[in-house]
Amino acid sequence: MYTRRRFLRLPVTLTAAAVIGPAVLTACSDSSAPPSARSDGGTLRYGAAVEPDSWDPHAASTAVTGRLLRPVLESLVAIAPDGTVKPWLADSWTVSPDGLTYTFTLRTGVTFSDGTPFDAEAVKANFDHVTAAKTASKRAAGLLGPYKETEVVNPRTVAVHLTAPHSSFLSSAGSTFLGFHSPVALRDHGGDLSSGGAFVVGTGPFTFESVTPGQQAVFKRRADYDWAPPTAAHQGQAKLESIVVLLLKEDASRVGALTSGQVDAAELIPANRLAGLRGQNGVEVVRKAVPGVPYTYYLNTARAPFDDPRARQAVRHAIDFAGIVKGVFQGEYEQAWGPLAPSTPGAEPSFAKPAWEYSKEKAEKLLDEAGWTGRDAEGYRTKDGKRLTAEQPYVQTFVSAQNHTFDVGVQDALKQVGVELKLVPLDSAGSIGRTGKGDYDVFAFAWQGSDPSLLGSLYHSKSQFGGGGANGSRVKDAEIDGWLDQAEATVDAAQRTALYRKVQRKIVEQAYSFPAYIATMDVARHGKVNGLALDVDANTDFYGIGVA
Amino acid sequence: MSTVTALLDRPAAATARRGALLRSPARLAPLVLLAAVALVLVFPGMFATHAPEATDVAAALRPPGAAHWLGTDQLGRDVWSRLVHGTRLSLLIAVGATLIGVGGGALLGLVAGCGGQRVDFALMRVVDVLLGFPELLLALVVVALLGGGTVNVAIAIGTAGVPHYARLVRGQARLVLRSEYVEAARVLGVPAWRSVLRHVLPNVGGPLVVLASIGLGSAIISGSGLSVLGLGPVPPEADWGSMVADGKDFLQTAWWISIAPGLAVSVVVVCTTLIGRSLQLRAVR
Amino acid sequence: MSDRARLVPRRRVPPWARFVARRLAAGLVVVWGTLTVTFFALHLAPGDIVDGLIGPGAAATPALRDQVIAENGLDDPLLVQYGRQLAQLASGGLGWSYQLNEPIERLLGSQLGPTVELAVSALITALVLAVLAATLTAGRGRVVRGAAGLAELLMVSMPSFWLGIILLTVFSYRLHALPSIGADGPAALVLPTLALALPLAGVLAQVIRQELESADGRPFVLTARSRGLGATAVLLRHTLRHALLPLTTLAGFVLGSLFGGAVLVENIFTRPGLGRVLANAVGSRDLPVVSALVVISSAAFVLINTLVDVLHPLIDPRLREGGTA
Repeated sequence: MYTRRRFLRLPVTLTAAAVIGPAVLTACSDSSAPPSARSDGGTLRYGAAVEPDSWDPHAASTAVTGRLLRPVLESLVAIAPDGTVKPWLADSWTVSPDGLTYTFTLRTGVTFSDGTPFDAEAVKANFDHVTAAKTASKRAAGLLGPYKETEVVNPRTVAVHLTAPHSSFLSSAGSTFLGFHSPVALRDHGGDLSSGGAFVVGTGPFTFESVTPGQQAVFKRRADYDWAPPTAAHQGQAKLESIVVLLLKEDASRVGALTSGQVDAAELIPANRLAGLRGQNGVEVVRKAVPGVPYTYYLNTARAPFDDPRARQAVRHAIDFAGIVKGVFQGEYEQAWGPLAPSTPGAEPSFAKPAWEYSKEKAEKLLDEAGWTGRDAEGYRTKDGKRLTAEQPYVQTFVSAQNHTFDVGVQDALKQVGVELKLVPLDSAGSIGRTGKGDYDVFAFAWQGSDPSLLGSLYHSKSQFGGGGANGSRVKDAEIDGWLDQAEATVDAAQRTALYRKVQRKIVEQAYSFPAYIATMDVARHGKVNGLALDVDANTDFYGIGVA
Repeated sequence: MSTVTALLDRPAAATARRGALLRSPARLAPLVLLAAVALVLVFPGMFATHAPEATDVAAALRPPGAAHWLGTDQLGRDVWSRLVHGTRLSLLIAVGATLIGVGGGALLGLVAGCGGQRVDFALMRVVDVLLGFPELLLALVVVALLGGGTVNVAIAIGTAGVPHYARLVRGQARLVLRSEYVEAARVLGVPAWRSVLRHVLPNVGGPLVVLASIGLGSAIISGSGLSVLGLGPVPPEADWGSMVADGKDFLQTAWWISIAPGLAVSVVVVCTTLIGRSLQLRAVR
Repeated sequence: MSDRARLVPRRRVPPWARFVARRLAAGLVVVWGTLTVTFFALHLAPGDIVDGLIGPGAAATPALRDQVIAENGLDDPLLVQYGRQLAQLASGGLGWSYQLNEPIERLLGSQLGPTVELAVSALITALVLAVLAATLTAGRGRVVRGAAGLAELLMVSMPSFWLGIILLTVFSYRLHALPSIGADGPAALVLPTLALALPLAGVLAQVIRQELESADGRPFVLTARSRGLGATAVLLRHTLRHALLPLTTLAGFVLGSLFGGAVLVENIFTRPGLGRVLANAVGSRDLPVVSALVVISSAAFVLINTLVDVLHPLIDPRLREGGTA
């Protein structure tokens, strides 16, 4: 530990030599030198964009936790790019007709890196940990849904009982957030999992060696790994010897680290840097549209002014999304039209095309109709002497520079039709307080995910802020509730999709919210990195990567 | 601020001999420049070529040129016009902070200087402790307690300046109160607070103005520093520091967004520091 | 202090030890005071501590809130909580970060190294630059001193973040000469060091130059000259030492400006370190981290100032001679 830390203080070239031996020294030390003949082994230095709020996926809220721990923590099932469910740590499974019991037959021969065998008891310990109040799970418990208990039928068979049907459970079971810690680690270090490092022990092809907050996380290859899912690019142990993830929050630093060769690959490359990077010698960009909910503006339908559908539609007409998207993202991203990104399984296909038009005239007309006819000294609209003002709270630490810029662009667009948008910076405590009370007019966020059941957390009347959901528009729509409940109870895939599409159409029709742009995950890599691909969640698949 | 007091603490005689820099043209230049800045502050419309908040996404990230003298930022806003309009907030924060610092410091210093031994001792120990901390750290703590934003940043920096002014005022108050004419007044039955008003305040005024004029410079640096950390004014309002923060991620492709406001900060600070020093020299003579 | 140094009759407990002990005790009071003030400020600050503890994105159900309140003893009287914090600190614990959800001592422990590394290298750089600039320009003609004065003024007036941005733009992004980020090795240390050191060097150079110039007419310089020492030898052996002495009284200021500057420099260069932790903690109002850092820095200032007071008589020949006479 001590020696590695010391080595990491040395220049990059020496670091590489110290960690992985002289074989790849040439490749790392001088990019102009011919690449060494080895096609595998070596260290990948990877620039990650976000620092996890917790290194325990069961507790964490940040998507990056799942992204970075995928090589360590594995799941019962694997999700193919088309959304179908494949076996992984479970060989097979059955769902009871009432949709309340999922019985998994576990794969044999799987062990955690601390030697503990993976069995039914391990599944139970993990799911119980996810739902334990002490874990204060921010994401994983939601994926488990109406969890009742896990029953150990025998070491190879485990039954998960739910209190209500939860049709997305199977695809959720493929998420890293429901990945498995070693039961020994859970027992001995349950309180330390969030700090990551050696406390996090899984069955994956890599072990989690160490983490330095704000700086880096180090992963090492596991020699005896041999249970990759059928969706993986290969079988057996990983190609990379180790992964050093540098936590580089600032876009400029992450891109700078890539161009200067301090990292071999970097994720979430800002759109305005893509063109420049593509031109650079040997750099290639791997990209995939991020599935889930695009960056979306939620209008608070529970209070004025956005309790009036005309005001909501007016605002939607007023914003030149295409123009802002083009400017902020340099033409790299596309405008979004639906509540779910088109790459999400179950997305309504008609929203791949324009669903409303940009028209200031229509916006002005609708606002006039809604009674906002007066104008004050600053040019904002008024009704009964009250200015048309909307407040948008945001948490500085969680809003990316691009999204913030986007908000400012929207602010100016609304000003042009006489609507004042106030951006209110808050700390997360203040934000939770205000959203929980519904004291806001606009709230914006994106939500990564690959199942349409996301809609339930965002638009069901039971999913209000402060009550466990993220219903940003504070929608209370009986029709939507009905469809969402039905979809949750339906095991039939086609029927489920049809219901979720109805929900999406109603949301757009009512202008409860409007999406801004479809983000893509852009991972840039140097030429020596091969096999870099993005999985169904648009996350980097470290297992398939090699370094020449 | 600490920079400033560190210099002010130096024996004045040494500073006084270093007149070369402060001979007349050099003494005039900062005044002229600051006057120009003040003009920009009061009449930004005369100088700006565009509306500072007006976005024009089609013209994003243009380099400096005829249409946009200092280029445009990522939303196509005109950097020159934003710089011109940003003058107001940058300087208001600094002036507001300095006033808060001077006011709070004067009050604290007078209480310590004119109060009893114990009050003085207690207050000055607190001041000593606070003086040990860098100004930015103190300001950050205040922001952590109050939250960010234009007003809170001014309060934070002002609060961080209080101990410096307090020490100055307290020292002057002690000097004046111990002088013979105040003693005489006390013998004649004039209450202490009237002596304070009549004698201490006018005597403290001069050095206070000197310190404040230099302190203004560091208040600008601290204020823009907090804005660079994203704690300053909320859009669409912008000061120079938040402009630097806006451009921080575009250094590789669009350096002009950050460089220009940073230069503005430096120029104004140089000017206020020069003026402060010449005031100081005059006070010493 | 010089009085104390003069009272040197030999005893069991050396006076310097008692002096140090007394200074440290006083320092402990200062740290305790800082802790107390930050504790109460933290608890009286607007904003809900429970929400802060639960964090963003969580389902802040009433049950979870109650649990968090119970776990953290937030329903105890304030004085009980205060006592608990003191006890915790006495046992070496600094508390728990709201935002990062980990023990603060672990968080800070891993970030201390890079900041110390940066501060030390900036301090050395600033001193070297300042001494060079001062000795080369002291007592020279008007033009040289005017230029030096202007340069120092510019250094002092340039915000460190702007200096950092310029260095980044020129050396990292244009010339690709030096890395733009991180704390990996000496190369990554160069630019942040310069951004932090140059403003400091501006101040120090002014002070040193003033001292050098005021030393010129001093008796010890005349004596040394009369003993036939060359100008350079006098400068190096006597004048410079004389000029560097007052710097020790500036130690607190230097430390402060290094740490204050580190907050911005670490942010611009994406270096890990305490400054970055502090800026993030302030941005997310992670109050336990903020108060831990305040307590730690107050302890650092006490230590440095004590050290300076102890060392001062050792360095200053006048005080030392007074002591041995």
